[in-house]
Amino acid sequence: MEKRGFEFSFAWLFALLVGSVIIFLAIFATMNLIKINRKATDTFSAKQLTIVFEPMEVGLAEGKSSYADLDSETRIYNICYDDGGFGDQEISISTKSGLGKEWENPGVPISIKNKYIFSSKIEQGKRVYFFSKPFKMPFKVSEMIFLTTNKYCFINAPEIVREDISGLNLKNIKLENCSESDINVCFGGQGKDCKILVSGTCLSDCESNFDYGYVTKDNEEIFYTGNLIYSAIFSDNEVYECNVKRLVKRLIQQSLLYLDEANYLSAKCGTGSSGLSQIVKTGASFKDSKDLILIKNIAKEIEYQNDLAQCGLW
Amino acid sequence: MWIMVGQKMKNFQILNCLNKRKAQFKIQQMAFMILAVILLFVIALLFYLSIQQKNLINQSLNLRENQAVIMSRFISDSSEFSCGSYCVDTDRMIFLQNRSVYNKFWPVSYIRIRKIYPEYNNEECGIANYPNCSFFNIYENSNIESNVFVGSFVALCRYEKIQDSPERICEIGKITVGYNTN
Repeated sequence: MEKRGFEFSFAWLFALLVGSVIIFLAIFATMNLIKINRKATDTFSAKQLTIVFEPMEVGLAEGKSSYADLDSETRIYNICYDDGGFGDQEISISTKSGLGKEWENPGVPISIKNKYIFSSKIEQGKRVYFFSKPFKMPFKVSEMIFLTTNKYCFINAPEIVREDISGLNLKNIKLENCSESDINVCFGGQGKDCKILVSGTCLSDCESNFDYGYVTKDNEEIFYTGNLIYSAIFSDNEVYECNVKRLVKRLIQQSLLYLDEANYLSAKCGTGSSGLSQIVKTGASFKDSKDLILIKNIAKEIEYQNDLAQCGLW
Repeated sequence: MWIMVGQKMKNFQILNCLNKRKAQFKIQQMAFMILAVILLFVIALLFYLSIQQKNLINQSLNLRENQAVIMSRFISDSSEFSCGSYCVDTDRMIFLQNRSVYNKFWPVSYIRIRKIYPEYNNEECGIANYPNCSFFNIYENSNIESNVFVGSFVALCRYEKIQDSPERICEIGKITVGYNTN
């Protein structure tokens, strides 16, 4: 009987072996190339994002808002360091991909020294909302940039907060008709399913009860004054405390600068400087957001001095 | 008959030898082909990588340029400089220049301010000659070597005592920000 068979010659074996090695190498190289490309794109996006922060300087305005639509679902990593002269923040990005791992490690972090970005440590979404408000103590120290991908519902918000939200046309914050997916922020401890509670403690000489107070989040209390109310609401407690320390460091350096200017101008127009040295002293012993109220009290005094001076410093 | 078998064996040996050589030749041919294919892939990859690198460099230059242009427009609003909108407080600038704590604070190579009008002596401003001077070297970042700069016009304001009462006097100036494109 004739046996039919397939002759498995050496040439076939060789071709299969080498072919599989080539295919493996090609897949390996492609995967690595994709990985490198993703890293480069993520780094590029992070740098672009940090450049978007530059025009968030508000000048004389009370705030600025904007949003960015990203090509795909993106994670924004925000790491804050409060060491050194002014501390710094590192922003990095990771994009979701259908090829390889869904989430790769973020791209190279971009360090920012002159901006204060308040957000969660990791923000994830396709649309990023950001707005800025000045941090004044009593002069403008810097803009605070709030970055979030979440949608919020402010329940029983005071008039001053309502004005800010409608003035800035913030599309991710509702003041009524809350939906289930919204994060509920309750003012004065009233409201349903509150994830964030805002309590105002200002009793006298205030525009609103919420001029200063504290925000309760994840069973922890963080303290705020003025526009820091938004920072406390939108950022992680750790990022918040770190950025507040950085802001105080900047305030100290600016106070020293203003102090030199005040001494120079005192001969011309008797500009006072006692409050500024007090700010420097109090700022140097600043530990956490609880101490903000001490600085705020001195700031009030300085503002009064500056208003009376013939040559105002700001 | 034995002669025929011997002849057949001889023929078979010759055929076998020829087949072996043919197979060896085929393997050699295949090896060269594989080498050529690999080389082609490597060259294509290198070409792609070089284009990618060039693009990346161009993109990073664009980003740096954008940052410097935007910074030159908005830096006068930052508290260290500002005395209002698009206004720089020169009384403060004489103390801000060369303040070591601000080293590497702004992500640019340098920040300079020059008075445009009225014109003064071409001297750097300091406590001794202020306000009769023409430029301030506010900030220098030794980590970034500058080869390009961008500028924007600002009002430079200071207090002067005129008839025993302090008045704010403003002049036209330009703020320049240097950055690196290499």
